[in-house]
Amino acid sequence: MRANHLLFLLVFLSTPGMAHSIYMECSETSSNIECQAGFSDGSSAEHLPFEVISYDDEALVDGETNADSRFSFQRPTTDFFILLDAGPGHVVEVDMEEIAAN
Amino acid sequence: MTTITAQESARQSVARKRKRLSKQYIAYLVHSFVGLKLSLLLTVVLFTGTLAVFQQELDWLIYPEMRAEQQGERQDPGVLLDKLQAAYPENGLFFFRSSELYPHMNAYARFLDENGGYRHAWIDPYTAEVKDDTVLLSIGQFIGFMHATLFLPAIGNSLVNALGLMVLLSLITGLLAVPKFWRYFLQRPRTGNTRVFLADLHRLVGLWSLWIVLVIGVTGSWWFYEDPFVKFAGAPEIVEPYPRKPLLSYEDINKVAALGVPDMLSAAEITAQVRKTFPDMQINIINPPEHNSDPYEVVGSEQEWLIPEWRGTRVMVHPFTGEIIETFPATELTPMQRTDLAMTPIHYGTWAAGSNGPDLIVKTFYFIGGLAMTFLSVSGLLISYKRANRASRKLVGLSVTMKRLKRGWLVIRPWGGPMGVFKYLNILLLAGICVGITIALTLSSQGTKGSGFLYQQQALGPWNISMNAVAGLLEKDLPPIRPGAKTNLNVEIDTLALKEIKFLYVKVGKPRTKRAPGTLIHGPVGAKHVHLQLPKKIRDNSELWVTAVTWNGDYHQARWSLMPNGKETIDAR
Repeated sequence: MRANHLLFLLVFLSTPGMAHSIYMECSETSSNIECQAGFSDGSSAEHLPFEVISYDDEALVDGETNADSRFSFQRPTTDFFILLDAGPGHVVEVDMEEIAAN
Repeated sequence: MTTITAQESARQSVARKRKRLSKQYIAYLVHSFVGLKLSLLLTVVLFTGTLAVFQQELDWLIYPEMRAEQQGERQDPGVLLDKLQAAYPENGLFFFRSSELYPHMNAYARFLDENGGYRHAWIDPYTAEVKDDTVLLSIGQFIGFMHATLFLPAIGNSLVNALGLMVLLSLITGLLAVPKFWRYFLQRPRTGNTRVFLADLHRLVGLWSLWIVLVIGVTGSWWFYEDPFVKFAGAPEIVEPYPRKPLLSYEDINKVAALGVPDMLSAAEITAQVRKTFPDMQINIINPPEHNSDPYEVVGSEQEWLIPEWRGTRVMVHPFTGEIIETFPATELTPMQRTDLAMTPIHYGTWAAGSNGPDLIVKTFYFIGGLAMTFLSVSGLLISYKRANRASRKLVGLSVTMKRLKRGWLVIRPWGGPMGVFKYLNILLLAGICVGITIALTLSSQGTKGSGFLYQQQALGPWNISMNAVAGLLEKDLPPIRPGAKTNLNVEIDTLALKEIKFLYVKVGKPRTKRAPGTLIHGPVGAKHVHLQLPKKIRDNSELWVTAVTWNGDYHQARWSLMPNGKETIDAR
């Protein structure tokens, strides 16, 4: 009773093909910044490198997403943005101003 | 030793009988409930599913573009894709299907026409003669979509899957409700009373179609767990995630860039590389790259059973060197993944496809089984209405008009008729299907180009670029730029520019760093697009920036006002 999902998506969405984009959404808890990464096709983004960089281009924190495509870090005292790198053409940036408060 | 008296034995026998009857009655009630409450919807799904067994054959009869005359050797799928692409220079082809499992069918690839509508371009696999193109939503495909989704976005698939569980429950309770059911396989239905005849026929057809009911019930229930429970409700995954399509590495890209502006290999060169490693693989699908770090994906089979043709062994090929960068062999799929993939051919009866397979015979069995299931749904409803009618005969002493009104009321009242209050839900869903069909028919021939917000043409280095933003195919009239929402950007850029540009990005606001200029614009030639996540805060003076990074390392940028300003950004809704 299920058909090819791709065919259905082709009709109801504008995405014509199979490629996917990386995305990252971050929110702030009382002490930490928590980020969730993923690909637009719903696939997970585990073990991808991330960096937290100050507005002065100073590296503050780095690491990898975990098996659930998440990572967290303590909020830096300086202004910052976050980069997540899924490969060539697939680097996503989230500025501190775009981080939602929880 | 305990002695049981004749009286006691008889009492126990009656008690056992009562208990058995009670169990049967409960089974009957459950059978009636699951079979009747959504019976209109179930009938639609079962009937369209029956027709969908032959959806490809139906299209084959209707559209001459699909028909191939089997002659000599088949051409290589890569060669076919190249020839097809050459015939459509302005439209990048994607999802090429070799149709090798179906010797009398042409190969095809998908493309978007100048309006953004989806079409299939056909090519003869023996002579490599390019045929015409057809709409994506052909009559057969329409029936298939209808069966799978009811054209109800978001909930359609889940709803259809839920009916799978209902079918399985109907099967179990139906058998429980008929004691020693095997005695009725050869019993002719009693004639003389329509209701009794229908009930006997319902039981007989149900028994002979147990196999198809089991197939549909099990596969549908499997998908019901996946969608909606795993997909939307966070239920535990029982199938391990399938491997994600990889990207080229930075090292790969840098090596290519060091040699200047590269040429992407043709599909024929790619398949030749694949055949070196997998000489016996039957190539079923080719997905060309949608951007420069996207590998060619070649999907094929090596005689594995019960795997859909668009799955199987996946080979990822470097589009500039032909090196195989990763392979996901079908033999390495886990048992749960194999089970999951097997559901599609088992459900649709496509598991016997192949040049020597008894495909049509198997499909004929499925078709007859589908008709039988449709009959079960309809006859179950009719039997219940007959019972309700019998009860309404008690309306004595009323005028004809009053009797009609009373009978009408007995059916339409919330608790009346076999479907009870669910009849309104059935009608509502059927109305939703009608609306969905209208939308799908319109949208399958229309795209989103030229709708929403227009970002007027301007220079991007030596080239020209323009874009339009739409909230979605179904939301063309909604404002496409809303804080925190996702928007679809269609990008028009000179075809020649795409050869020079390594990556093309879009971002709200000026990129802070060259490392992350935004979200990658991708897609086939003529259908470049991006699904862009918008920031949660959008200022009045926010700008939309496009950055092109060329193979030579040059950066070119263009920017527009994000919101319409009557100048470079226009609201075309």
